[in-house]
Order: sequence, then C-alpha cells, then structure tokens
Amino acid sequence: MPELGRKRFGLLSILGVLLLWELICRAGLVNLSLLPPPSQIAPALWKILASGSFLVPLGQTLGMLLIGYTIACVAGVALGLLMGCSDYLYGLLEPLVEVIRPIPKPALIPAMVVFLGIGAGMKITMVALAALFPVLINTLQGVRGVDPVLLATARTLGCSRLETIRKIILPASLPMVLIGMRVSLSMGLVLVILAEMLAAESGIGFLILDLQRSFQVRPMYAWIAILAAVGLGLNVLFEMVEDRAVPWRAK
Amino acid sequence: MTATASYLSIRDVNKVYGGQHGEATTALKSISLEVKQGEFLAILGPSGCGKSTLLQIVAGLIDGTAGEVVLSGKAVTAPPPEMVYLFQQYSKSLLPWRTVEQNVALVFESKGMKKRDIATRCVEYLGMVGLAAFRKHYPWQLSGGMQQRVAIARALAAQPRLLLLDEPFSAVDALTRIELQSLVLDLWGRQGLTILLITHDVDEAVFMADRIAVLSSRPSIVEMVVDTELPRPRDAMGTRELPRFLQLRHELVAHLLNRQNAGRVDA
Amino acid sequence: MLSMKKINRMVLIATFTALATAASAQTVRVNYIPITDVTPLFVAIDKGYFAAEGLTIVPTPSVGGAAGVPGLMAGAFDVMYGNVVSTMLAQQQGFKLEVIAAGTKQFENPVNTNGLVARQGDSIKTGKDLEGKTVAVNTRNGIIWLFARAWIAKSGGDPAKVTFKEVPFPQMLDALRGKQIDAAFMVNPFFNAAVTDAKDFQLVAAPYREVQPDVEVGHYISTQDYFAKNKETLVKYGRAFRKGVQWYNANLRDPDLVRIISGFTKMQPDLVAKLDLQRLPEVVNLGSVATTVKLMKDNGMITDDIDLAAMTDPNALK
Repeated sequence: MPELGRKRFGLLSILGVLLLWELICRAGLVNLSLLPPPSQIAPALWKILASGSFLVPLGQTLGMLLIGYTIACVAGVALGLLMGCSDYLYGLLEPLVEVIRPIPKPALIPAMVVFLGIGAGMKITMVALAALFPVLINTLQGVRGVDPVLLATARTLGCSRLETIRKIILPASLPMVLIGMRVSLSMGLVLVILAEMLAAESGIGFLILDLQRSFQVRPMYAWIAILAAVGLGLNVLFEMVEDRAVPWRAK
Repeated sequence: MTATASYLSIRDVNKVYGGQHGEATTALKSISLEVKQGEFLAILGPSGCGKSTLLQIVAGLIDGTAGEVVLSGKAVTAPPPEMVYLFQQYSKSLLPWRTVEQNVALVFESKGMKKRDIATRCVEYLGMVGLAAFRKHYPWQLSGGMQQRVAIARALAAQPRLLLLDEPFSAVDALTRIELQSLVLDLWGRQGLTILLITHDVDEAVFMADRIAVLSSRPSIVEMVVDTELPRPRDAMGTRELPRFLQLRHELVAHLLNRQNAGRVDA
Repeated sequence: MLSMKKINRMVLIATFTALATAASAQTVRVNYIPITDVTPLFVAIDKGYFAAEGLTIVPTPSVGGAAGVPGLMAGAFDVMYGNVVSTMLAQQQGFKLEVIAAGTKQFENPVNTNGLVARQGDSIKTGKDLEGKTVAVNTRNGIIWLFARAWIAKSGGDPAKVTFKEVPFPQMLDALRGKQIDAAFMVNPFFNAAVTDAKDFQLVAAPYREVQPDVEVGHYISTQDYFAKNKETLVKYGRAFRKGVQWYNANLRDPDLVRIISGFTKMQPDLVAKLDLQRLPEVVNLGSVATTVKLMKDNGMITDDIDLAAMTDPNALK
C-alpha cells in the first residue's frame, strides 16, 4: 500500500474509535458526567485553543521537559560513550546503572520532592533521571555494536584512538543513540506530567488534576487530547530529525 | 633461494584458538612464506582453512600464537603504515554516513592537508578506479562492485607498499569480478605494489598471481607453492586460454578435489 | 418436656429466621475521610445501630470530597462524606447529587477543632506573610482550599501568590515538620496533635471562624439516582446514623470514643485521648450552605444558583 494511502487508512481507525465513543455515550451506556462524548469535548477543546489559554501551561510543561531532556541526552551519550570505550569505566559504573535503572522513576518523585521541593528543579530532575537511562543504555549498546570491520578498517588506515572514537564510533552508533533518545522523550513527557500532578502548581499535569478536582470533566478531556497531540507532535518531529541525521539507517 | 632478505617474511606462524576452557583448535599449524617486493602472491585453500586468519596475522590485526611476521626487517605487531587491508565484507568497511569522496578523504585527514588538496587527491584516486563521477554518492547508493572499487581507491590513497586482499571478489557477479581483477592487476603493475591475495577460486589465483601458495585444511600448513609462469600483462580472455593456464588450473583443481575426496576430516 | 422433634423444629425455624434476616441485610458502601467529623458513623457501626436496621456498612477511606465524588458517580460506593464546596462544584457541573445527612458544622464554641498551623518560630501572622509560601490543603477546589484562600484575602494577602499543595490530612504534620510546606489547614484529630505541641507548632488562624463562623463544612451525600432507587434503605440508614450522632453528642468524654477514633484515623490512642471533642449537628442548615455557595460565587468557583432544597433529603432537615 502506498505511503499516503496507509496513513489515510490509519486516520480512518481513529475516526472509527471516536464515532464508537460518541455512540456509546449517546446510547446511555456510560455515565456522561464521567465520560462525556467527543461532541461535548470538542467545544471545550476549541475554547481552550481559540482563547490561547493553552499556551502558558503548554510552555511550562514543554520547557521543563526540554531542559531535563537535554541534560539527560548529553549525560547519557557522554556516559554511554565512556563506558563503551573503556572497560575500566564500564566495570566501575555498570553495577550502579543496573541498580538504578530498573527503579520505576515515578516512585522517586516523593523522595525528590523532599529534597528539591515542588518547583522547576524537581521537575527537571525527574525528567532528567527518567530520560537518562534509555539514552545511556542505547548509546552503550551502539558503541559496543560498532561493526568490527569498521574498527579494523580504522586501524589499518592508521587512525588514532581519539580519531576512531570521533570519526567512526560516534557516527556509527548514532542510529542506536537516536532510538534511545526517542524512548527517552516519551518517558520524559510521562514524568513531567506525573511530577506536575503529584507535586507542582503549574503545567499541564497540574491543570488536568485541578480540572478533575473541580469536576470540569470536559475541559479535562480536552487537555488530555492536547497532551496526546503534543506526544504525537514530538514523535513526528523526532522522526524528521532522525531521517535527516541518519539517512543510511534503513539501507 | 639465497640470503637476500625478503620484503615480507612469514615464519612458522601458528594460531591456536580456545584451550582455556574448551578444546583448543589449531587453525594454522605452521605457515612459512617468503614474499619478494613487487610480487603478487595468491594464497589458495578451501573455506575454513584459516586463510583470513593468516592474513589478519600478517596485517597485525590479530596476534599469532607462535611464529613471527617480519616486514622490511621489522616485526609486525600492529597494522604497519605501509600496509592496507581490503576486507571481504567491503560494504561494511565503508563509512555509510560519508560520501564516496569523504570515505577516501579519511586517509588524508589528520595529515594537515588543505581541504582543496584533499579533494583533488580523492578525485585522483577515484579516477583510477573509474568512479570520479560518483564521488558525491553514498556507498549504499552504489552496486557491490562499485563499493569494492571505492574500497580499492581508498586503499590506494593510503599509498601502501603492501596490499592484503581478503577474498575481495567473492561477493560480486562473474562479469564484475573479471573487471575488478583486471583493474587490480593494472594498478599493481603501475604502482609497483606487493600484493597478497586470499582466494578459494583457482581461476582467480592462476589468472592474477606470480606464485600460488596452497594451504591445507585445518590445522593448515603450506602444502605447495607453484610459479604460475604466465606472461604479463595478463589478458582477461587471452591468458585464460593459454595451455599453461589450463594445465596449471587442471593440476590445482585435481589436487584440491583429491584432497577433498581422500576422506580427510575437515576441522 | 421438649421432645427431640420439637427441638429440631425450633432449630430449623431459628436458622431460617437468621438466614432470612441475613439475606435481607442491605449492604451500604460508605466513603469517609479519616477525621473526627465522621466519628458518629463509626459509633453507629460500633454500637450496632445499623445492624439493628438490617444494614451492613462497608466503609472505605479517601482524601477528600473532591477525590470521592468521581467514585460516587462511578458507583464505587453508595454514600460518602464530603465537603460542601466540592458537592456544589459537582452539582454545577451536572453531577446529580443528593444530601442525605448532616456532617460537620462549625458551632460557636471556644475550642478550636481546626485551623491554619505553622512551625513554631516562623513569623506567619497574616495572609500577606503567606505570599510566596506553600500551604497544604487536603485537596484543591474543596472547602479547606476555599476558606484558606478567603482568609488569606481577608487578612491582607493575595491568594494567587500562595502555592497550595495537596497533602492528605494524616500526613500534614510530617510535611510541616519536614519543611515540605510552610503552613497547613488541619482538622482533628491531627490538628489537635499539632497545637498541643507548642514546642514545634503554632496556631496561625482559624479560617472557618474568621470567614463564616456558622459554616456547614461537611455532609453526607449520595447520588440522586441511588436516592431515588433506595429510599427505604436510606431512611433506615438515616435513623441509625442519627442515633450515632445523638450517642456521640451525649458521650463526648466517653473513653469508648478514644478507641473508636483511634481505630479509623490510625492515630495513637494517647494522642486521641487529648482531644476536646465538640458536638456535631443532627440536621442540615440550608442557610449556612447558601452563605458558602455565595462565597464560592464571589471567588469565581461557580456561576449559577443552586437549588439547595431540591438536592437535600427532607429527612436530613428535621
């Protein structure tokens, strides 16, 4: 099926779900004050978008996400590279990584709140912690998975260790690094929303909880829809970057 | 024959794998060869007999368990600067994120050359393999044969005196193979290189080399060394029809078949 | 002389009667906040008033009305104790709720049962002092939150400049001690534990008293749907519950209460014993509720009027 045709097909399934949702609500199968139909959510969504009131919370949430994410990517790539190239550092750090990585990061939020309060510092830290590990692990695997033929070629062409890292290992592991970064982006978004719900006073997560507390269910769902769009948008953006940065990965 | 030092000396190279926990396998029992400067030596043997291992030891990429390799009077412990190795999986040896030209340029970087000079040299070497027009392409946009030519161009750009080729043409079709063989012979003749070629193709060995060393299967030794005694320059069609070619080819194939049928255990 | 036959028949009848009673025993699931305000509920359970009406009560805890209402609407429980503000907010948003019993009312009495607490040594006297600081409320958009803001405004501060953090009532003391928050609007029994510890904590103000002295803080609600379908059950429930309130009001110093309160709040008995319990209302006062609704309107929480009488069980008014 041609690319565009496939995408249109997918759109059909989304519309189908929305239609089903609407019908279920109209048939009275659910409590409308708990699950309003899309036809009631849409005006609330329109109101939020048209008034521009979505900009501030969106900006707050995205801001925290991007700062934490950038920190995590830089640290993750650096650590992954170091651990991949140095057996000594790998042996030193790997147990530590393996202990911290499996901890579901949301479980750390209460502890972080004690240390960092409920402001920007805490949110950025939570995002950074969650986003660090996928990038680190994938970078590590990318570095270790560089084709030995490439490394041998570098040796026979007289490249120094530093040159090999810079010219061969880094570009060769880029596809894996980007995979890790993409996973990290999703995880970062989850954490920032969660942190905002549990402990903050601004951002989309806080807003969704607040709307729930005052039983404004329709705007609450509208914001969830906005959140879904944000997640989708970030992914699409990432794919575009990936296509340009590693055009050879599918070949 | 005499005491004149060879350019490349391979002495009693032995390679054993494993041994620490499992059974030790001897890939190379004892390989000794003397190679003269400017010579084209083919190493012929069945698959799995350790030919690649031998070549990598000669290249300094891996260490032998015993024996030594001496190049221009110096022992080889790491890839020597005057040597270039052409891998069997040539497509994996090309950097996919660089253009063809940039792949060749890898050789010139960190030598303090100006960008413009590097570009000129790259075009020069790509021209030698007939790919100057493709210099802005990426490796994955080229056919297998073209990729191999890029690898050759890059190898030449390093201005080696010794070229090690690991079954370089086994993965291309017959016609491309003939083209590449002629190309390599042409470059060899003009640049005065010394070439070691690993192959399992008898035709190829006879067509290209001055001498052919035949390896046994594991644990390998040099079973025999023959001079091809064929006139140069070699001609793709003509040489292959000479009586000497056919005779030598017949002998070698018979020898290899005999050994195969003699019920020897393949390691 | 009772023959074996007669004894057997009596046993059979007794068993049938017991089974019949058990089968007709209605289960009512009640959601509560673990604060002293709901003590009459547990008194009624403890003294068997519900059982006498043939009702089995299944209680489940929550952090506040704002959190409980969605559960009520979803049918997770039948009756819940919640704050008046959350109920009115929900009603405004189209949730159909029914007030079935009175809960908590601030009576005019000298003893404080709730208030804004801060750490000893911090100079927090007015709403202005709280600007830029964090105040703990059990949930946002509830009555605690509304009155905290109202007090801040009344005492010269700007509520918009104060950060309100959600902390469940049982955890407010620790959060305050651990400096995660600067002040907390606490209720009993936790409030008492704080203010009797003059070394660590100080009382800043009693917002209910200062903003609306007769405020009806909490009540018991059900959905209008459940109310319509289970009128008989709720009549029995109301009777039993009212008995619990009456017993409670008549026995404020009874040591039994220490045991009961300690049980459902999980607070240590020796701390519970220090509580100076105050009486709770038997009926709902719609006038007080109306005043609170007006306060909500002034704060922009709701826009339309609410017909309070239409959503209140007449039995709860007398």
